[in-house]
Amino acid sequence: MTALLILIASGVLMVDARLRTSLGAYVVFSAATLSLIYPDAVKTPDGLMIFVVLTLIKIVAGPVLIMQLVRRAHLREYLSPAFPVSVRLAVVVLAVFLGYGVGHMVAFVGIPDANLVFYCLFASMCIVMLHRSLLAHVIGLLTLGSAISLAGAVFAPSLPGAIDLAGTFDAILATIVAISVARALARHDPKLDIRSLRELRG
Amino acid sequence: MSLLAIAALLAPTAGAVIASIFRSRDLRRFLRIAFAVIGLIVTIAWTHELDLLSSLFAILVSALCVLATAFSTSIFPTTVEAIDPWSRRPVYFMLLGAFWSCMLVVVGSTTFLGVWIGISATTVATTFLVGYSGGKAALEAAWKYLILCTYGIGIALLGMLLLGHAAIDAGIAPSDALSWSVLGAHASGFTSATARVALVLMIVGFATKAGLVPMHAWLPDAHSKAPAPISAVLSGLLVSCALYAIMRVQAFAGMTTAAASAVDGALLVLGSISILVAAVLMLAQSDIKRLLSYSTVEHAGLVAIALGCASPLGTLAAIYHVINHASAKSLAFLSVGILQHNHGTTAIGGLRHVWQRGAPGKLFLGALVGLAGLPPFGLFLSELLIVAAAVAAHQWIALGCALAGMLLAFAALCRLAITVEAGSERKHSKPAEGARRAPRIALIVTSLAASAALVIAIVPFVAWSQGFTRAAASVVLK
Repeated sequence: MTALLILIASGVLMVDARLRTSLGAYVVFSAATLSLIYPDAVKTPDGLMIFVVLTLIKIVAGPVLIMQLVRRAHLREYLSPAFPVSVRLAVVVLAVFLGYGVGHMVAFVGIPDANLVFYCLFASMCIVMLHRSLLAHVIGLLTLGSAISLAGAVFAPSLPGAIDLAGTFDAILATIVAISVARALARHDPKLDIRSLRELRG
Repeated sequence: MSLLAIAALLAPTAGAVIASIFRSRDLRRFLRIAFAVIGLIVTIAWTHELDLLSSLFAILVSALCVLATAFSTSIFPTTVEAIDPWSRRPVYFMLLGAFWSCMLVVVGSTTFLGVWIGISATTVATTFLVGYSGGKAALEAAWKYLILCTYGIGIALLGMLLLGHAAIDAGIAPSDALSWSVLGAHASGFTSATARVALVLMIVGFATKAGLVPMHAWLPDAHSKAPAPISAVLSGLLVSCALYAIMRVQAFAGMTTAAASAVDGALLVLGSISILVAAVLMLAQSDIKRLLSYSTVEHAGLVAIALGCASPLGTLAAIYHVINHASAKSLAFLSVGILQHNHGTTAIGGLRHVWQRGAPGKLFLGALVGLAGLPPFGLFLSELLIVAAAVAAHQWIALGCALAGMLLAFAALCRLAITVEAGSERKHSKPAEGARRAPRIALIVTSLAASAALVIAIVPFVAWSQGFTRAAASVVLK
């Protein structure tokens, strides 16, 4: 059930071009990945604390920061897809197959949900590649943070929570930095379209 | 963590913060340089607690950061649109200090997690430094840098999590699962394909930060659009820190039976592609800083090939090459910074007769001689050692790529040197007489970088240093 929720939410993230829908899908995606982390995370008081921090950062801070940027810089709530909807849907299917294929490689035999982790990672990359808006890149970074948290829970649940926290903080810091740079870039291009960032070539 | 370690890690950032409190500009300048020197002294004292490889890199990091800080107090990069919070002078120095601290975290850690935290933290500080000017091109470079490096570092973390999984399977306690001394003691237990994939993912992740092709797209943009002292630190140190992380991963992979060949193979492939692609692109550049950035990719590729040879000679050559490259590239970027300050351009077509333009021009041409791998600079010897290591390891394809790449890079640097010295006069080339004079501190700092580059060249011929470098290499090989 949770895996299906992740699949649908990430599918929406890859296909849809409306900012609010994408942020909603991101919240569902993060909540679903957190629900998979929950059983191992809350075994110790430290783990519980880290889990609460992760939840607040992922579900509240990220989307709020993006909406603040949109309001303050008067940006369009549109993620400018780079390809037609049929291509985007095909990429979703491809990501599912890729995740399944990689997750069933010899190296990951005996690791349950490895395919889900790799699917989430591919999805986070596809979000960036399938949209031209820099806001989609920021959402992609946030999704990457959730995918890495899931990887921590699946691959090494007994490793110290500090690793998970470090990964999440990296993703959230990168998001904050990205939002700051995006705000500065909005002065040059209010659409925040990747096509306007082609000065540096060769 | 000892008090000395805490002092060494905090000194650069704390110094920048304290210096920014004072109102007098001259006092701030003095304090910035003084605190940077104190940071270097504390780092040297701290090295007694580190192994030799870490010590070597820690001193390199702090020494070049002192030069970058002093240079920045002299020629402060002018901003295009100084309305962003990070485009203020105190913030610039705090970010530079934070960047320095992060790099010390990388080289001072004893676990893969520490190295990863340090490298990922450098992204935060340096993104703002790359986009410092607030111009569209600088922000574009900062954006590419942030997105690509965050994904690269994410892949390295994924590899670390898989390594943790393999470590726990091998019977290591979860709290020690990423400490390389503990991992090394249990290396024979790592026989699974999971360990192999984990280490290759870590190599790929850190290679993104080292600018190896095909994960290099951010590097030429970021290094060429950053202010000159930041370009020097990015090219000279950040890439070196990423290569240090790769050395640590390879050192552990070499102890396991499952992963050694996969990691060495990955390094040889990435290194060979990097050298060829970077060298070809060097020939096509019209901007000096961009050409120097591609030269960084080329040298990172050479180090990857040296490491991929998996021999004592290869490792020794890799370490020596990293140190030589850091000093020569810093010299190149700092001298370009002075030329840019004096003549307002870094376009290859915009500079002529640089030898006649005083010390900065001479220092710049000297840097080009060094980067081309010619004596008396140390890159001559380290490139020779890399070739010898590739021959000894029978890595003929990698050797062919390295030789072809070195030849093309040599041609590109010769073309640059000939154009800026003896090229025909163009309309937009300013005459030497009308140029601004370089500030004295910037000239002293760049001369110090040149002296360091020349001194490092003779280090291998000094008896006491031979043992030191060999011992540093043995840290990777044991």
